[in-house]
Amino acid sequence: MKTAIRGVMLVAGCLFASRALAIGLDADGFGVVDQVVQWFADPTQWTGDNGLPHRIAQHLYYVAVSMAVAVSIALPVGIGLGHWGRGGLIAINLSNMGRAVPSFGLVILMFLLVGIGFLPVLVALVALAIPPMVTNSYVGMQAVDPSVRTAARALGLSGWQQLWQIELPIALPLVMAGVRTAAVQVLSTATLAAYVGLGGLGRYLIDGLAQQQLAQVVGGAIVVAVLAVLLEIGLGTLQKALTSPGLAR
Amino acid sequence: MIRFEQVTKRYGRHDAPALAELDLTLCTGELTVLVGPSGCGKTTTLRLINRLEEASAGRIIIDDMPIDDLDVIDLRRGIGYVMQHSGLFPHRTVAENIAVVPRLLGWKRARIRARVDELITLVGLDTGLAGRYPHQLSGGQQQRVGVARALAADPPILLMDEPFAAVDPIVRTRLQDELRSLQARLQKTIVFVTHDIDEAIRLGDRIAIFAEGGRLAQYAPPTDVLAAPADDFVADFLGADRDLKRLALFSAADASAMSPSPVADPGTTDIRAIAQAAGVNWVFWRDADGAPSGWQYLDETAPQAVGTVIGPADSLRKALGAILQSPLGAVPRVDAQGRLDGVLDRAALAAVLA
Amino acid sequence: MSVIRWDWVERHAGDIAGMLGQHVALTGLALLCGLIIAFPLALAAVRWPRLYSLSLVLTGILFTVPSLALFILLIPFTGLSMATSLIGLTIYTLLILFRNIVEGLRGVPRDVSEAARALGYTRGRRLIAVELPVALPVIVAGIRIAAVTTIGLVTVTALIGQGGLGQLFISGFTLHFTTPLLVGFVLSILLAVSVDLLLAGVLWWLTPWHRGRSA
Repeated sequence: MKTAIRGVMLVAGCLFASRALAIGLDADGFGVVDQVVQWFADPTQWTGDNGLPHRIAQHLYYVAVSMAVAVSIALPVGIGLGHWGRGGLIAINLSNMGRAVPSFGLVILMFLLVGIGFLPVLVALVALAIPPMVTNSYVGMQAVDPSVRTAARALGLSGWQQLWQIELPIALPLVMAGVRTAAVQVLSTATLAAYVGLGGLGRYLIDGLAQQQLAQVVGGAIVVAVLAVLLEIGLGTLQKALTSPGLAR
Repeated sequence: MIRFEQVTKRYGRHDAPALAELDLTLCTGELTVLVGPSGCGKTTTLRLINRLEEASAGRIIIDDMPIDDLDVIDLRRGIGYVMQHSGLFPHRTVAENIAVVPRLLGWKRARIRARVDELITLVGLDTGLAGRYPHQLSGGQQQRVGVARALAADPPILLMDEPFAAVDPIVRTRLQDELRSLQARLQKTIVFVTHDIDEAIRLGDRIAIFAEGGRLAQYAPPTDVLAAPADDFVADFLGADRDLKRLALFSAADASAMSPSPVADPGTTDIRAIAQAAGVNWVFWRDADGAPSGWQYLDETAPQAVGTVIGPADSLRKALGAILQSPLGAVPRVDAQGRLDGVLDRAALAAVLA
Repeated sequence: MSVIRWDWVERHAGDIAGMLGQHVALTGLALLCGLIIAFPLALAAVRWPRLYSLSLVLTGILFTVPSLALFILLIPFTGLSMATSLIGLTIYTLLILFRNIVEGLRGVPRDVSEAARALGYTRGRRLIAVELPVALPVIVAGIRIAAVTTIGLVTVTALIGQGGLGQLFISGFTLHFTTPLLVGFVLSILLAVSVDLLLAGVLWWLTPWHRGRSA
């Protein structure tokens, strides 16, 4: 909760500071801020297919679908590898390797290979989201104290009970950290996907840049930034709610 | 009864065995300590019982039932297990940790709650700790919770793998005392692993001493082991102060006092005769109630304060300490009513060890 | 249709080399600026713990802002210029570097810095001679992550007129032609991997006391 309040205050502060800066810097900057405010205030901005609500919903839809697919692949793999202690070298280095892949290039590559539509973007987003989640869930499972595993076995928990009741809850903070990283990255990259014709908030940025409409570009960027921060805070709150207080240090 | 029949355990196929053709019978209701240097197979032996390890050859039988015939999960739920690092589940409270096995066994909630409260008290913890998480407890408290968790479903067998090795010496001694009194009440079949021979002697009804390579060097009650080490390895392992350790296991009542003991009752005039009969130049005085009241050299006119008095339940090790401190080389022993019933000297202790 | 047309690559070798050069320059500059700014900030954060927790929240949130959005939010101030790209990239490197430098310095075992104090080191000498070397592996790990991340982010700046190898992505897209795209894609990955390995090598060379230990 504290983080949430801090986050909101921070965003407000940034916006305020940017406006103050813009005014202080030059008349042009002031003009931009005014335009952006107008862009937000325009009633047509809030309705229709190019309206903010629709664009936000679209964007969140892309994120949700990509994350659902990526989670259902990455978590079983990472958790399984961690549980059985196999393939550690790959699992640990996967997120490093993933980082080296330029997401923008991957989106365009998928577009050229698969064609227009959500599918190529989905493939790219899923591919980007998997590595951090595999690595984190693997590390989280491996970090479970061996004596805790032994105790679970000795008390007569079956394999599944050990996994579900003991190892997963203990690994949860790290697993969730991977999910957060991936989700924020997917939200960010989904913006780039507008470049290859996808909807969502990226449209404001890409179209605005192409048409040299700074108000739209900056407005869209603000919305995306706020959405990313909210997603991060939301997932952080969820993680806290799911984590046992016994694991807090 | 837990019986090992020709049990061998190898980790790698070509490795030397961690445990070699072990034949061992652990008695029901007794606390058996498995002791030995690291790598001697004692922990392996323990973990074979609840099948955390599987034997490479031979079989283990609990109450006429080979454990391989039992479902491994059922087997483990029927055997308590306490380990060195408590192995408590960090995401669960003290109460939830203790309740693990009862919950797995499907007990009713009210019964679990009652049992948890009972156990927390039994292991000497405050019931206010029930809602705490493991990381909020001290090392000693964590071990107590570990013991409570192992006892939760009242298993007849309790396995303890160096449970007190990681706590500081003062707490360790207290936990050992508590385990002894707990065992006196519960009469479980306890198998206790340690590398500390003093702990083994203190706790064990019987101790099994393992040598490197998983060889059982000796299996006997601690007094017998100390009196007659089976071989040089056991003698070495017991240490140079073996006799001192043995003395600790005897009580003053086990020793025969000097005969005759140089003791004078009120009104005695010729203390010289009494002393000479005992071959010394001093006597202890007894008062009208029979309690020791002082001692006196023959060539002195007044008695001196009595000093340390050994009770019947005191260990002979304590008696030896008192003998070494006394200028006479002897201490008075009293019976349960506090009456002086004899004088102990070095020869009296040596006779016990002989 | 072949995926790559080598004749196109040959004809544009000069351009590609130029873009690669710009890519390396942008990455290097962003890292350098990030280090120069992150270092004093991290030292301050280690000194004053309250500043540390506040800055963790701040950097954490700033880091979630999508890169394109961040670049665009800078446009009103610096326009569609190299400066915009550089400032945006620097902000990202700064965030990563700050966290790792602080973690590294805070991770110096207490007895090590106590021992240094007991031996009579002044605060500054202690930092340079003892604490920094001990923290080096974590700091270099941060530089590696920052470098690899930045190399990927540089391609995004193609959308605001810079971009190094990212320009090849744009040509690939506009021409509907996989060759430039793949060249940019592969070169970008190769660049990231080689910089990562290079930095790992530098760390190995700088910390002889860590060699022979398992990672």
